[in-house]
Amino acid sequence: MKLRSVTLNDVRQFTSPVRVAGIGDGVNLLSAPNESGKSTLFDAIHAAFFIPHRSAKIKSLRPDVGGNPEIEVTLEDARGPLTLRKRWGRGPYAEVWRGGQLVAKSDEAEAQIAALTQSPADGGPAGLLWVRQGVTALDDTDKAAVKTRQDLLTSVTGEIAALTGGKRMDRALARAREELDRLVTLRGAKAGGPLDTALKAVAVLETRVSELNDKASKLRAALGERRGKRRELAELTDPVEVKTRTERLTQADAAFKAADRHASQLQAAEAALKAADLALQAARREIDNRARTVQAIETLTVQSTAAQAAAEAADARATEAQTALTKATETHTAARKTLREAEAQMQAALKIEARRAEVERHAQLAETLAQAETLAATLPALREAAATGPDARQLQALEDAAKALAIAEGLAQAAAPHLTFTPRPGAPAVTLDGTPLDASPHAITQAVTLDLPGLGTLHIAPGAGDAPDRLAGAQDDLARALAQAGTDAPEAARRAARARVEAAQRLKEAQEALKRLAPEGIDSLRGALARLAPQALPEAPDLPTATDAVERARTAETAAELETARLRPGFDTAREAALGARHDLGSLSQRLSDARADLTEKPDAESLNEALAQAETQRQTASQAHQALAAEAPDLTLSRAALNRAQSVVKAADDAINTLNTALAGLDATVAHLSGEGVEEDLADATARLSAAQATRDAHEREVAVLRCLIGALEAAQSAARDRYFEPVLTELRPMLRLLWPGAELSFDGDSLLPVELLRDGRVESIGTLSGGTREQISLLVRLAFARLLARSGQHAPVILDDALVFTDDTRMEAMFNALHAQAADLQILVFSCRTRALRQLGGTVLQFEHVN
Amino acid sequence: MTDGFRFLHSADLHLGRRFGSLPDGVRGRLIEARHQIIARLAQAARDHGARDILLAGDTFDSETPADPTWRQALLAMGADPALRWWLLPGNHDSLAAEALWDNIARIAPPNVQPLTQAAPVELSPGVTLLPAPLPRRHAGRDLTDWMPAAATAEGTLRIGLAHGGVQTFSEDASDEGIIPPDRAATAGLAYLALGDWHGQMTVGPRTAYAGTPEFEEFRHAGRGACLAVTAFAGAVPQIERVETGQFDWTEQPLSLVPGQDAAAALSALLPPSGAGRRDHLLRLRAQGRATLAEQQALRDAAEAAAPEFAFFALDTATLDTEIDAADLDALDHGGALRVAAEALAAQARDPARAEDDRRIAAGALNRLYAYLSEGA
Repeated sequence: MKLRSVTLNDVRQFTSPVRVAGIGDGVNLLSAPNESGKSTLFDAIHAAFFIPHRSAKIKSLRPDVGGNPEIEVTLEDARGPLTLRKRWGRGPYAEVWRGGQLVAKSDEAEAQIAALTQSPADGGPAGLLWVRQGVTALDDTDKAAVKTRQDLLTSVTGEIAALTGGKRMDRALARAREELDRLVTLRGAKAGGPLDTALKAVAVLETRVSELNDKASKLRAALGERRGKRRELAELTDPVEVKTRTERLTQADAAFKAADRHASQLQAAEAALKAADLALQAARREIDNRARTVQAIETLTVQSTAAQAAAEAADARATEAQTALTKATETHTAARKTLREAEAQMQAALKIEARRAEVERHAQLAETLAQAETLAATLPALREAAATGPDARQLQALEDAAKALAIAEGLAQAAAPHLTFTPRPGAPAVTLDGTPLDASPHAITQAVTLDLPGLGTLHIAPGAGDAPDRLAGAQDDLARALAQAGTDAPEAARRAARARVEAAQRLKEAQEALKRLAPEGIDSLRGALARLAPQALPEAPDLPTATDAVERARTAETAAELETARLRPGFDTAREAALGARHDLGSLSQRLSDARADLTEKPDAESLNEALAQAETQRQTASQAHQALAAEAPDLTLSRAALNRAQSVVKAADDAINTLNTALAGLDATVAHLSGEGVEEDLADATARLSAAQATRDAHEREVAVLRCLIGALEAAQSAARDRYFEPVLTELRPMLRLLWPGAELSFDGDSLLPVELLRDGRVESIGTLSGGTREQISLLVRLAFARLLARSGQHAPVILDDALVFTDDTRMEAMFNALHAQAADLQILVFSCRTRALRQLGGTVLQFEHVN
Repeated sequence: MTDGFRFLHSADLHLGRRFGSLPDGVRGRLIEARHQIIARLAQAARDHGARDILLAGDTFDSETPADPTWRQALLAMGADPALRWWLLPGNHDSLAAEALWDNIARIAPPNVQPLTQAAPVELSPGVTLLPAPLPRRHAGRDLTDWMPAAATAEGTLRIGLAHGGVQTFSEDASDEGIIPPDRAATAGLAYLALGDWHGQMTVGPRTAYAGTPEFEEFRHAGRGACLAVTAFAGAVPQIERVETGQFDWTEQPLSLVPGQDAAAALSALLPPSGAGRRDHLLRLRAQGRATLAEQQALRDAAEAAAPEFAFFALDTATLDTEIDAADLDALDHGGALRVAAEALAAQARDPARAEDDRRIAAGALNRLYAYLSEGA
């Protein structure tokens, strides 16, 4: 699509028709001073394509004096020339003319106009370059337009916004997210939010409905049960039923009593019959007893005679056995007497033997006593000897003192000066303390006098020193030890000590011997001896002889005893047999006597037969009476069962009535309680509320679904637009940038898609630090890049630049002109500017406003 | 009885209904209006010279109404001792509700008579009422079958009173007890007063449903009413409709086509503006198709009108969205917004999608339109 002319009437300052015609391909320039209508033309072109003719959003295009804006745009598309006409306000219309013919009007015209700027099938930016920076159809305000024109860099934002939906997309997303956030979070319904409230309300009401259903069910059940019980009670208390039960009970009671009476009579008859039976049996027994007694008397008489003979024979055998036994007993008694006498003799012999031993013992004791007294007599001398002389301690002290003296003497000898005299031949004898002095050395341990004949005497003193003292001390010690030992010489002391030891040994041996002889002392020994004073021994046989006599007597006694024992059982048996026979005879005699007495007491046989006949007659009478009653007897068991049944029926009815009344009281209370609460009303209400709450919940859930669907669609479209167009636009932009700055690169923020840094001449510069000229140049190039992108997609969109180069210096302006011309090969570019002189070198088609007559 | 016997015929008061599905604001008013209907019926009887008011069943909404419900109702009926109220147990308050009818029999004022036996009752000398109380919710048989054989004195004016359906249009579809439409003729009735059908309907010259005097749902449009009847021996009774309902219940379809002024179409269905709207419950079911803009206009119009009504609901669940190119252009001519809008439009039109998914997509598109229209 390429614009060819634009005609305005009643648009802002143009209250009479003006036209900009002759718009050519490539670059077109409308250069005019401010307030000449360039921006009005820009806005009019925008309105012609984007504002429906019935829209009220044309207010900003109305002239101040009023009027109905009209715009006519001629253009060319792939099918040829085309004219669009629109009027807003009063008498609005939209028309599309092609080839001098009206081809569409009103909404159809709008549809065809919209199709001219239709976005590509993939959703690319359509009519993008018709729109000023960031301005879109529905938020078009003068304020926004002015603001966007003030900063051309925002045109980049505008292009990106048009691509990604811009502020409107953000607003829609924000609104949808805001409303979704009110309803849900990532974890589900938002606490306290409408959906959460609805869900909770549904839960509460479901619980409420459930509870009320339970209550209603309970109430209905109680009502049903009460109806049933009332019906049952009515049946039970029905007067006819009550009367029937009572009559049946009365009848059953009367029947039972009659049967009971009859049963008593029958029982009496049975008793009478039994009594008659017993009497008859007794009569028969009497007769039998008498016969048995007569028979017994006869039998006993025979038995008594036989028993008498047997008793006499047994007596004879017993007497014989007794005689033999008596004889054997006497023999035994004599043998026993002989044995006792022999044993007495042996006892006497034993006593004499015992007295003889006592005599021998007395003699031994006397000898022992003599030995003991002898030993006892030696003890005092031995004790004295054992206490005489030095004891072992004293002897040891003496030995120690003697040893010390020997040592002291040795030391004094060694320390003393020695005198050795060697006489000359013929010299006179020399004496030492009067003793001739020989040639051996003499130790001078004390003052001595040497007589030197012819010479005088020589006194020699050993001089001072401790050896003499020590020797004297040792001698003193020895003297004291000797004194304590009671001797005057060590050897004497040693002999005395040995004598003491030997005496002690002998004393010990004597004491031990005495102990053995008289362990309990000599006095005890003397007492024992005195008690064994010897007596004269009596006359008695010797022990062997007495022993022999005893043995013989014992053998005889044993034999006699055996004989007696042999005869005694026979005697006993015979005696018992005799006693038994006598007893049998006595018993039979007694029984016979008793039987005869018994027979005497019994009635005679005739009387007994008469009694029997009478008993048989009575028994027959009783039997007939019993049979008659038994034949007429009613069934007492049946009567009792009938009575029990009638009673149980009445009792069961009474119990049931009581139970029913109790149950009905409880059910009445339950029904009164529950029905008074209006359970069913509550249930109906709660059910309706639940239904409403569920509808509300469903509506909120549907709202969530709608919002998620919308957010998903918006985010997907935004993301797809960024992915699809961002890189291609950069590709288009890169060569244009390098027309101005060789090797330059522009980097963009990944989220906002806005340029952030410019790399040129090896330096990275933040967009914010760039000059106004550079920023507007970048903006213009970005827009051209989008135009190129559209052109490559087959949609040639005019690029309209409204005061796009305000800050660019002349040098850079040339480069921009070249860039515009370079891109204009297949684009139509309209440049509106007030910089008349600066743009004079731009070239291209020059446009101007023309008044139309 | 040449002057005839005049009485008021009503039914289905359903006292105790709570209207749980409606918003709190209107619920209380509706409950109170149901109670006040007793006074309005009494006034209608007085206005029409009737002493007897025959309630043909379902006076109470449940078999076990709350104590305040039935106690206050009895007090209201007893307010004018010159009137007599004849209460027939219906399917909602059948004789199975023993507690209810026991209580009524026990403490009802003298001018309130529960009809718990299917036996003739003398309304006035020469006028006998033949009631057919429901023993339980579902009678399962024709309870008026005893009326033909009911003995009354020669020349007695016989009036039948029953509750149930004469056709399958009974309010309770499961009710198997069908009253023969010619029962008035076969039983020699001067008039058969029926209840159960909440709308007013004449079955024959001597048989009619009075309908509920105060509607409680949208099934029947308009306001509730009762019948003022004058029965004659051997002549067709005179039956006069007497409007008694306070609230007007209206449910109407709102059919739309693209290009139609949706707001104007909605406005055309609204009752005249005025104080009466406060007692009007209105439910409009939008159907057909409408563009995004038209739906937005419809929503705006509904939102503007709703506060004037006791209850106002616009149901757009079955309204399809007409995806209009101009609407999409209004969203954006290109770019991501346009792509998103077209994607949603495609989903909304995609027959392969489930209807609910299509409606959600259409809803999302409508929502996008609404968001972008805000402050435009």
